[in-house]
Amino acid sequence: MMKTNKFYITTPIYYVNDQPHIGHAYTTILADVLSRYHRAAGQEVFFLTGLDEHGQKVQQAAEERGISPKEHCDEMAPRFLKLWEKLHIRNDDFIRTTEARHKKVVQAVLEKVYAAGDIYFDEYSGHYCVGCERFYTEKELEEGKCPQHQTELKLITEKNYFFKMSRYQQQLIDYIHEHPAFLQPTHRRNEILGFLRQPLGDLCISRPKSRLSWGIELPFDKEYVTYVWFDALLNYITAPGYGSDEKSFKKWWPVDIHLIGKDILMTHAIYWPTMLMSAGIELPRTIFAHGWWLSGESKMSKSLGNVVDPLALIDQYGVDPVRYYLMREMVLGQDASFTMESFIKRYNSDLANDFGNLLSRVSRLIERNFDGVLPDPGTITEAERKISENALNMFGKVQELIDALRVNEAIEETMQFIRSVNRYMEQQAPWKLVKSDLTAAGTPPRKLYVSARCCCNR
Amino acid sequence: MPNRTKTVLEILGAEDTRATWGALKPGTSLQKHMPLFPRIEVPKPVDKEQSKTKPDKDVNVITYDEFKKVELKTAEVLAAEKVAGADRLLKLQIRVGEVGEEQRQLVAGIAEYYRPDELIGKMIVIVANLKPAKIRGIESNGMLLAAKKGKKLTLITIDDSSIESGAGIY
Repeated sequence: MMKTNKFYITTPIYYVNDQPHIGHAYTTILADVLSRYHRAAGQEVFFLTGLDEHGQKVQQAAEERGISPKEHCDEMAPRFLKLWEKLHIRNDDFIRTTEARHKKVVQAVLEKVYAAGDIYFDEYSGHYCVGCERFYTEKELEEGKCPQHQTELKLITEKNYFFKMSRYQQQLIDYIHEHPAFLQPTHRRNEILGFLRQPLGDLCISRPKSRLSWGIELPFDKEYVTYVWFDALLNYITAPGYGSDEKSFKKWWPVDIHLIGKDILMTHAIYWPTMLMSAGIELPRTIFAHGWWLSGESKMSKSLGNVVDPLALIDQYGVDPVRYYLMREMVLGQDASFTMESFIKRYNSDLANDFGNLLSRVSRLIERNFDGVLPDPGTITEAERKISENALNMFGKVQELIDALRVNEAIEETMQFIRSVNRYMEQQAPWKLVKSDLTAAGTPPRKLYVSARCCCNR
Repeated sequence: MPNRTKTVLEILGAEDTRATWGALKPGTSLQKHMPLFPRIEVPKPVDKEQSKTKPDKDVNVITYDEFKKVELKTAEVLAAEKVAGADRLLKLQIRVGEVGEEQRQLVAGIAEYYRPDELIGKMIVIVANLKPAKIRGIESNGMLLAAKKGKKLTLITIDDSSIESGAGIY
C-alpha cells in the first residue's frame, strides 16, 4: 500500500431496505478496525459508510405502506445507525444517496460522461427482474425464470441510455496488470481478468420514469432516472467533496481501500473503474473483496433462517468480544463459519484465559504484595530484555500484516506475544518470589502494559 | 476492542500512547477491577451415551478407596519435544513440586493437538503413581490427563496461579 499521511476507507453503501445482518456488521467493523489502526499510527483518516436509497424495491415497499419513498427511507435508515452505535463504529461521514449533495455529483458526472461521448440512446429488450433490478438475457434464464428469484420474467422492450463501458475494456485490463494492489485478493483479481477475456458489453444506465420514478433524474433527459448502481457507486466521490470542495477531494481521493463483499465485485471492479476513466477521475488504490460468513456450509441469509443476530450477542457478551471474534475468525478474502461453539471457544481461550488472565494475575499480585502500587522494576534480566525486544518486533510485524490486510494474522501475532508473557510469568512464578524477593516480583507489570497497548488498536 | 483495552489502560494508570515500551511509571496506583473477560460457562449437555448405559451403570462403579489409590498431582511442563519416528508422541520433562524437587519424563500421545512450545509453562494434571513404562523405547513415568471427544483433545490444566506444582487433586 502506498504510504501517505492520509487514509480513506469505505464500506459499500448498504441497501436501506435490508435488515442489518452480520455481513453489514462485519464489513463495517473491519473498516472501523483499519481506521482506528491508521488513526493511532498518526494518519489522518476518513472513514465513510452509508445507505443506498434509490431503486424499485424502495419504491414498491413505500407504495405498499402508502407513504413516500423518502419517508420510507427516513424510517429505515436509523436501524443501521443504531447498529453502528452499538458496534462502536467511528465513521467520519454517513452518506445517503437521497441527499442533495449526492444528486449534484451524479448529475455532474453524467454530464461529463455524456460530453465525453460515452453515452448513447438505444432500444433494448430483455427479461427484467424486479428483485434483481436488472435485465437477463435469454441465455441467463433458468427455464424462463430469474436464476436468483425463480420468478417468471416478462420480456420488456424499451429505449434506454447506455454507457460505453466496452470502450474501456483494454484500458481496464492494462490498469489491472500494472497495479497489482488494485484488486485484492489475488483470486478475485484473476476472476475479473478472466471475465475480461470475453468482450465487455455496454451498461444500461437509465430507467424510464414510467416504470421507476424513485431515482436521480438524468440531466439530459427528464423522462429517465439513473440506474441505481451508476448512482450508488458515485457516493465514494460525493462524500470527500467531488465538485463541491476540490481541496478536500484532492486530499482524500483516490480512496485507499474500498472494502466490499465478494457478491458485489463485478460492479466495483468493472463498472466503477470504467465510469471513473470516462469521467477523467483517478482510480481507487485498492478494492478488497472479503468472503461471506457461513453458518455451517451455507451463506447466512434471512431466507435460510440461519442468521446470527450480532445485536443479541452484544447484549449478552459485550461489543468487544463480538468485534474480536469477527476479526480473528475470518481469513480476509475467504469465507468463514460462524457458530456459537467457536465464538465461546475463542472467547474463553484468547480473551478469558490468555489476555484477561494475564491482567488479573499481575494486578492481583501487585494488589496483595505492593498495596496496589506499581513497584520499581529494578534490573532487567535477559528474559525480560527478550520480551521487550519481542514486543517491539511485534509492532513491526503487526504493521506489515495490517497493511497487507491480514488482520486475523495481526491479531494472532499479538496473542502470541501475550501468550509468551504468560509463559514468562509461569516460569518466573512471581507469586512465589514475593515470599523472598519483592523487587523481582515487581517487573511483570511492565510487560503487561505493552500487551494492553497493542490490543487497543483492534 | 475499543472499550476493554481502554479499561486496561485505566486500571494500569497508563496514558494511551504510541506503540512503545516501558510506559508504565513505578509508583502508579492500580485500580481495582472485575475480571476483564469473565469465562463463558457452557452448561454441559446431558451425555447421551452415559444415559444410554445407565441400566448397567453399576458394572463400572468403583469405591472411594479404589479411587484413592490413584494419585493425581499438578505438574509444570519444563520442556517438550517431538519423538522421532512417532507422529503422535511428545516427550515432556515435568516438575512435580518445588524447584529442585522431583523432575520426571513422560511420553504422551498429544502431538497432533499441541506444538511442543505451546506446552512449556503449562500446569497439567498427572497420574503420579502410575507404574513406569517404556513407550517406543523411551521411559515414561506417569500419565497426563486430557479431555477427548472425537477429534478434539484439550489438556486438563490448572489456571489459578495460587495452586503450585505438586499439589494433590481430590
